[in-house]
Amino acid sequence: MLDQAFEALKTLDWGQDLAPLAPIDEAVISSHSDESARRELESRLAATLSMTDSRDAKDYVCRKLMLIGTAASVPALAALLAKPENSHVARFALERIPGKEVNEALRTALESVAGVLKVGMIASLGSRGDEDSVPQLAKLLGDSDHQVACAAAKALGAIGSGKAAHALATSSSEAVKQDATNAMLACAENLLAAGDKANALRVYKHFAGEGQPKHVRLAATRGMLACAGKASE
Amino acid sequence: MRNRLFHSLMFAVMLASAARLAPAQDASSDELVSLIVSLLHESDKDLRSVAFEQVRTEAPGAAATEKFAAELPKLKPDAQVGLLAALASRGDTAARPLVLETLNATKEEAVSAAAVTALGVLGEAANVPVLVEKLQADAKPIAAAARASLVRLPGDETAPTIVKTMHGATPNVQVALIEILTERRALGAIPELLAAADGDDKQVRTAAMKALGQLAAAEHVAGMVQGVLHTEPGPEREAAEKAVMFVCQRAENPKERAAPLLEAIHDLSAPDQLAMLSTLGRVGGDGARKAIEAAIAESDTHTAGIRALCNWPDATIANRLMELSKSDSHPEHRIATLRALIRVAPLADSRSDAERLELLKQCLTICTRDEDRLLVLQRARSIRTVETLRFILEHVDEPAFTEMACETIVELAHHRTLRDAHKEEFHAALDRVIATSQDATSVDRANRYKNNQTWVRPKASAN
Repeated sequence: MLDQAFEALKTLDWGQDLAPLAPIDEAVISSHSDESARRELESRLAATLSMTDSRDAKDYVCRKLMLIGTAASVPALAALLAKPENSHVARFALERIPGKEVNEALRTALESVAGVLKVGMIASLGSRGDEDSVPQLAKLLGDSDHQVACAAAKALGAIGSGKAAHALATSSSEAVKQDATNAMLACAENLLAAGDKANALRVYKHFAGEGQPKHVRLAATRGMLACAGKASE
Repeated sequence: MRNRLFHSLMFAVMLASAARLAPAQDASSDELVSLIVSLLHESDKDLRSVAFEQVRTEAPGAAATEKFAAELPKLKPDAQVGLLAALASRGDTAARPLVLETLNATKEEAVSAAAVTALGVLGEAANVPVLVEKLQADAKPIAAAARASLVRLPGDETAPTIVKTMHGATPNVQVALIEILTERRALGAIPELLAAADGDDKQVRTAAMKALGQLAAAEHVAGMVQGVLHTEPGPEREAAEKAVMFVCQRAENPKERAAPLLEAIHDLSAPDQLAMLSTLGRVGGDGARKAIEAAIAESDTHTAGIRALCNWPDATIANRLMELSKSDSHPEHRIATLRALIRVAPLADSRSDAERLELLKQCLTICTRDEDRLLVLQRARSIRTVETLRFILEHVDEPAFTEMACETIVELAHHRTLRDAHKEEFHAALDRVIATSQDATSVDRANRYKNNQTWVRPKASAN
């Protein structure tokens, strides 16, 4: 049954009856407590990615690997990152797979893609909180593509570390100023939550001055009060 | 021995650690307080609001409260108002001295009102005099704030202090303080209220009786009777009688509600007993009925008895009123009892709507004057049935009753559930109102109800 399902998967096209694929769905569920069966299923799914040209089949496989994927699936998924048709759904799977291999794959792809695909890689690195991608993202703050630069600022805010905050603070790009400000405040909040009051306060003080827009001052002021309040708890 | 030494050493280490920790905690709290204090001086009101929010909820402790309150004299008026409100919400009485200081120092109306409001939360009985002084302020916001603060001012001694302040105060202030004591449900003030009800000033007496109507119990009725006897006939007497009625109506057994009043008037002189008949009539009940019937039976007290019976609070007296309205030898008594009958006939009780309407129809057959017939048509609107509508429609075309009948029709139509349940009949009735009424309000209401629209009743004037 499962073999027939994998055969049917290779030629999947939207609109077709999905009933023939049910054995794969059932295998994903039933392998929950059977590690070896799950690894074998993962291997067959990852292999299918290179055996089919069907976009819909690849989409289906990525959604299943999102559930059961491990570092073993990363090469097969990473191969899709540069393909406009599959890049998004491949990241959908990769973002949820634990391990540094995924971050490395995303960082590598970041250097080879452009435009919206690049924005996607940046967003995924931010979503995974990849501290090692900070230098690459910092460089992108000055990118000529406004969308890429703004995405880099947001990703650095999502990473939220001291290094990320420093990278944002040293950026001179006026184009991403608003996103960079939001991102720095996000970093400060993250730092404070992690107990790094000194660095959080440094960021908040930077934005609490009179030269800042009112909403930013309000946010920074609340942040400074939170710092002082947290210390007194 | 070695064990004890070890424990002593551990204790010393713990003490040293605690000593190191304590200043660190204070310093952190100081940092927050300093930050909040600096924000209080921000020129931007939104940033100040952040500070007020912190004052309300953060940096607990009297020391921090005192530091916040210490900024009051240094702030501009609008910031003072905000900080006073925040300190009130914080609820720490440590701010009280500076709130009082601000109240004494300011010439700004808004600041005064805010300080007075804050004092209502943070104050104590000792602050009653200053609040009473502000109660007399020309500025309405300050007077209103003082009134509200006197109502909510905490402390067991507050109500007794307010009572003491009443002595020597002007009648206007006494009236305000009586109202405040009533809102505070100050049951301990009842002896003073009874004394005030028996006093020389009419408005103070009226306020005291009104307060007693809400606060007093059966054991205070004897004292209230003295208050009733002290009133001037007319509106003051009526209000005082109603106050006694409210107290008696709180009796658990409705049949015994007149008992405390009967007991209270038992030892009065004959003229005073006669004067209290009217009050007895308002209270109702078997004992009251007996006393009133006895008065009606005597020629010299007959009129007072009839008047008392006409005050009866429910329709249990209907048959007797019907009898008197037909048979009393005095024409004015027949009119008075008929009008009393028309008043009680539609009152809601255990009777069915049909029985209530039937009684009202009987009243109409006895009426000899148009003003009494008009009263019947007006009272009919209390019985919200389609049968009432049919009864009223019979009188729409009689010129003397057209407007009253139309008014009652639109009043019945006002109730959507009744109107919708008999849509066709009501639409036809409303069409007649539109065609015959000369009253713009009745016509407007009829049109609205026909179009399934609402009508907002104008608020009754304070006078």
